[in-house]
Amino acid sequence: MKNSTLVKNDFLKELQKEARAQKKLNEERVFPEFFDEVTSFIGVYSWQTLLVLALITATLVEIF
Amino acid sequence: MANIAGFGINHSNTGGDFLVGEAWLATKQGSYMKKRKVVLSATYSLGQISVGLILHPYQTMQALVREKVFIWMSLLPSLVLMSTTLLWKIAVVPLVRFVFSCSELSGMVFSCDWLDFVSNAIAFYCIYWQLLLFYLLIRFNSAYRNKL
Repeated sequence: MKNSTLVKNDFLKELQKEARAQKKLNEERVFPEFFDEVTSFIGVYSWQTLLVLALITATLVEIF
Repeated sequence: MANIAGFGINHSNTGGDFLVGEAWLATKQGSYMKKRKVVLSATYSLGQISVGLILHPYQTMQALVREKVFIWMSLLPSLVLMSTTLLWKIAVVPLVRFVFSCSELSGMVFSCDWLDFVSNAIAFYCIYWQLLLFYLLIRFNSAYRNKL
């Protein structure tokens, strides 16, 4: 019982540490706040966004 | 006198020799299994990382930079582009030109005119993917260097 509590506490500490790291990472801004929605969209739908961009660029190259 | 396929184990020997032979065989098989496991494990890891870099580049790159392993995998898009280009020039284009008569089929849905478009699309996809991975690599590198 004592051991499982210790494991649980360790896990919670790790979780808190990871949460702090992620928060700090999110606060370190590279692009202005204006781009937040765009960057999070690219983060979630990465390959789809890249594919659409690649198709658009290839189409533009074909046209011009 | 039975000789097990090339391992030179003589079963007509005394029990001691037999045990030594068995132990040697077990060691040999063990090392083979170990090598097999290492190869399988490495292949599995590389596959997992590749899929991760395609589907979830943010999380995967973060994990790679944090753990400082397989960072060279951030060059995956370039490797894919190089191998695809080679494959494209050696196999795909000659095969399509051989199977379809390009002059007759031009204007149809699957004609040779599409080859340029598809190859451009693949190349641009790999370039954008590589740029994204480089950006993430630099971003996470600087973040973890500043003791995140």
